[in-house]
Amino acid sequence: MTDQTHSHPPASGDLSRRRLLKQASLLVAAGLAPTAAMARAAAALNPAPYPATPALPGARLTERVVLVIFGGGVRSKETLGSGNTPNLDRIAASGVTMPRTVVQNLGHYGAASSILTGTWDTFGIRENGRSESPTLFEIIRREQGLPASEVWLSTSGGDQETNYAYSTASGYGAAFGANLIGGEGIFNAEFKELVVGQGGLRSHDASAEKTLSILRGAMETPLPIDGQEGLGNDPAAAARIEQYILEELRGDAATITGLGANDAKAMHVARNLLAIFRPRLLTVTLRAPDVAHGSYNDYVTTIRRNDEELGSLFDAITSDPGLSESTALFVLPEFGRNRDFNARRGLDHGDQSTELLNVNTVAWGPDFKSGVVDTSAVRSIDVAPTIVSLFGGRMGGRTGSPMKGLFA
Amino acid sequence: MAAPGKPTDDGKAPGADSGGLDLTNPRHVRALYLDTLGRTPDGDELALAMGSRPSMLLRLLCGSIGFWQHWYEEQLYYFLLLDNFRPHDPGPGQRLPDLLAGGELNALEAVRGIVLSSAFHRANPGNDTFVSVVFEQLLGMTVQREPALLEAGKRMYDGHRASLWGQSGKSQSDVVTITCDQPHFAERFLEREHSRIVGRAPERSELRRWTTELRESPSHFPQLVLGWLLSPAYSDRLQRLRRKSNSQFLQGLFVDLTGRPPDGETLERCRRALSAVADAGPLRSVIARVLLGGEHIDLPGRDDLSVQDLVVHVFQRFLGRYPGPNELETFITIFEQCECETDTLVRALTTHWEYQYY
Repeated sequence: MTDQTHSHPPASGDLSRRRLLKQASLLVAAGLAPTAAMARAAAALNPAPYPATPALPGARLTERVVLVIFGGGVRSKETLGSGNTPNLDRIAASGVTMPRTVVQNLGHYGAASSILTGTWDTFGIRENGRSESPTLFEIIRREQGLPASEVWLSTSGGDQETNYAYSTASGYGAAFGANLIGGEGIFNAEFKELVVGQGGLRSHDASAEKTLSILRGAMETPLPIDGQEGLGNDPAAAARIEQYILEELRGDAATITGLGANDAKAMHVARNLLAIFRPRLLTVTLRAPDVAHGSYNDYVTTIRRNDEELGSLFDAITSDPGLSESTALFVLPEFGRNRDFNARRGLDHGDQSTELLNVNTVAWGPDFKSGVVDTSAVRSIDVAPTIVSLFGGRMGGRTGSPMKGLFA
Repeated sequence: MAAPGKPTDDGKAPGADSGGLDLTNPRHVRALYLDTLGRTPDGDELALAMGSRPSMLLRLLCGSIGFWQHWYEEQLYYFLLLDNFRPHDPGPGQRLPDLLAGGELNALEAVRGIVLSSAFHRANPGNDTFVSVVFEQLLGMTVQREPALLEAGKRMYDGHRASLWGQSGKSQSDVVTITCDQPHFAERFLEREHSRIVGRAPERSELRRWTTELRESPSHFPQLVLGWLLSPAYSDRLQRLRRKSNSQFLQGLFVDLTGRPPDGETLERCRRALSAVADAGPLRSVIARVLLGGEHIDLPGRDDLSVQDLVVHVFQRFLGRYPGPNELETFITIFEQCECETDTLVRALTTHWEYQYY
């Protein structure tokens, strides 16, 4: 019997009526004795430790990759060597810097999506749609056979950024997408009050959960579904994610406030995801520096705050013996900003200047060179193919190319 | 409480899916309500609808204040005017849905009003962003392919005289007004509305016909929607389950459980949270469990109905369908044997994936 909780229809096949009734009668006869389904549900809430992760086939030492899209439109002159980003400076000092990373001004959403798909994605700025090209999450999950719980995205935004998780590409889509959490949307005081405040969730009742599992497992939906199915988190993974969300709500993520709080939450969530799920691929997308449209000072403040958070994430990696020797880190913005101030003494993005279209990429990891500045021209769409190559795979022919200059 | 349906002589449940819009099928009624009002019907509405003719029910729904309130929220979502960027509330009588329901405004004028609002301006700062979003959202343009047009729009936005599609202007509002004057504005609007309501893109020839009709009679948008819902395309869509949007899920859940939609603040809190995850399933289940545990839910008790009628009732109320024989047998067996109440059955249904579809 299969529990059919949450968002996903069963992957294949219908429930066996005979088996169902047999198990139901067994359940009754045993006075709601545990079944295999119940045992699985219980195990989901108390997962076994993760098995050791094998090295990626395309790399010598890299087992995991963390990609930080240090976004919101950030010029190089406000980052490395500016005094604003001491943490990015120290990552660069032991990694590779590529100051001639070419980007396109496709709006924040399209430009960030391009990093994830390895193609120039021409979205409308407020278009709430998905890329037609597969993301690196989908390619890696499909090629490596990874479950959704191994590939995560932590975003600072809401509805639009949720689309980063997967594309509409044929043969890919939700079934190979990334798990995604937009920290600000969930971990805020209002939602916390609603869920864990007065009259919130009842405490976990194993017996009731077993009954629910049996009932859900008996359901036989008579109609097919229209469109794509879900991410494919199995009930055990879904239960762990649900538990994680509840724990995070009970914790202090909802108390993070101030200028750039959305980005700080995204980084906070990323650190916890790394510690709890230890995913093979973790991506963080930031965007607070876009306050630059109205204020240069606020722009710099958010860059500094994001750099502090980046430092904490980097320290979490380097201080964990299970991560420090096996994790690669990429940091780059989706694009820069205009060369000159606007009338509000802020910085827009749209002048096609070098400041807008050339950014820094910083890469650090066990298979990369150390303390090197590589001035050869690369593109932001080369990042995804590089990461996919670390996993031993290849992206399609219309994408960027792996950054061979990174490797030691 | 709606009376539970009984199997007919041939063993089929009443209102079983047999092709075409059928208001004796509670799933079809729920779908119509979700697509027009963004929520499920309450018990009285369901009973009334199941005794109505489709055209009569749709005349009541399309163009009602609930229809326009749902439409307005969908437009704000389309333009991503959410959270801090939500437009200021002008108060009763002056809200766009009020004006639309009263016939003082039509849908195309309302869209133009949204784009001219200060909220839209705040959400899209700077000439490049503002002009790009206006062109993209209103006309479906890819601005990267129209650099000259974009530059002209940016000059106009900045207060310099410039020309767009042969019309001259020199302000931010001129950019919006001239864009809304383009024939493709109405076509793009109808294209996305049809996709939202019917679940698929319209045929090009039909889209052109509807565009002409709307441009000639701008107040006819509700009548167009009525026609879409009576079309073979909508009947065809009803033969499959479509995923509820987060808003539909939340409003439907509240109505199904409490008989009324959530207040705006609760809806927005929950919608934001659901929109912040790629797999909303686990969080949708959390919200359903919170609601079942905290609100007063009017559910029949063990002694109110026979166990069979109770199971049939919850299936119809929450899924809009009669339980299959195996489902019925298992639910009855479990309910008779365990020390649970009706809310356990409801919890199983509302945390099952089928409840996330309609």
